[in-house]
Amino acid sequence: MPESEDLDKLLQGCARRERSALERLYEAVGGRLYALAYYMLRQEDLAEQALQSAFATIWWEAGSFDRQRLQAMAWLVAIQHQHALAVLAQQPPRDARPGEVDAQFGPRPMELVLQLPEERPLTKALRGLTVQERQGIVLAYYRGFNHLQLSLSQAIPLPISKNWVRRGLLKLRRSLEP
Amino acid sequence: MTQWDADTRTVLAGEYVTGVLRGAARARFERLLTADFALRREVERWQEQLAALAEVMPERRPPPRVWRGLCKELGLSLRVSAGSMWRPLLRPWVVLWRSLVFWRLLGTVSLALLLVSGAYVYERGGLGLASGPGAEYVAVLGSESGAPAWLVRLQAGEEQVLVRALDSPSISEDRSFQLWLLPGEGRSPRSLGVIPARGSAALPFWRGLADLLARAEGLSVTLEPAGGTLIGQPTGEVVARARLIPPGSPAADDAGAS
Repeated sequence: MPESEDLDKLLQGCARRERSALERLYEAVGGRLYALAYYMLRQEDLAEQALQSAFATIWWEAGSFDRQRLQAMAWLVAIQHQHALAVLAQQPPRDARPGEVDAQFGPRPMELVLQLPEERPLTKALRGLTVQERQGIVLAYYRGFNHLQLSLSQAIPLPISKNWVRRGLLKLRRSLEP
Repeated sequence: MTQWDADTRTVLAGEYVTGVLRGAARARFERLLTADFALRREVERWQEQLAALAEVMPERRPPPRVWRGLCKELGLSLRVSAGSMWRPLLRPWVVLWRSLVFWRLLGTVSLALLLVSGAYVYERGGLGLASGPGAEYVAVLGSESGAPAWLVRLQAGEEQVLVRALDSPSISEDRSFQLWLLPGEGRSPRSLGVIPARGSAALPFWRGLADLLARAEGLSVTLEPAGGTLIGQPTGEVVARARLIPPGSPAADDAGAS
């Protein structure tokens, strides 16, 4: 993980429209953002599209990045995640049944989340949720499931699934900000 | 401010960041974000806290074509360019730019034209040069009431975008005005930067902007959270806009003549 101050500097360079800053930023975090896009979209061409459009936004918006409000890496990840969701929204809906994930795309979201570093507050907070609550948050983030897809994948009525997400998010927040 | 209780705000912001909130509901939430600074903070808290989810997967090297595509999209050369693209403000027109008389005169002319055709952008063709590298565009962005709110000079030759607030709308401290280029041909708006409510400002002129200008439909100003929108696309209401009249069109000639 690149140092936050370095990323801050590179983003400032992008804001000044310095091409070299963009190139170094791309080298520093491109692989990580691409991994996220690929994991979410599971298709190379779509992931490439999401990566390129995310970096275009990063370039144009670097001037509005404010490290007082958000850390650089979190800002970059949030932009990539949004762009992957936007690409996903243009695709025909995927089969939302559980267990459909092809092995070549690595561990399933619920397994992946168990590999989170121990020292992260999020790790402990996620472990405090029920499986169903955790599933809602994790499948939404990594697979781009909306409420309906989530309820289908969990094979339960929509209001119950929605309520699990709600309870999960509130528990997370209380655990992260006691 | 929305009337949700604190828990609902936390949950909606979390649903937005995780992505479970989609479609029309997502678009509605994004509109609310522009008007609600506290809600935006809520979103940023989730973005900070959930970013760790992107750390677990192994890095994956993107194919070189992505970088090439990105450079092409941004109008950047593939090779590393040395030095800054910006040139110092030295030209005589800068003096003119600062001259009150010039602005009053231009304001009067602009207002007269606004009454005829609404807001517009016209090109001041130097030596008959239409949309070449030295093309200069002057845009008067009219607010809803029709009053000229901002004056924008886009100088491809000087690589400068200069903005002067004329009679711009009032704004609270937690909001910013953001200027957008509408590239046309179905492409999404490109941010030119945050612009002031009073006084003037110089915005960066990025490479590739000159090409976009030649085909652009116009400019718009939206109301965004302080510092500009986080997502690279306008999220707030449009408070002013200007149509881009292609160089050489009768309207552009009229404007140039007056």
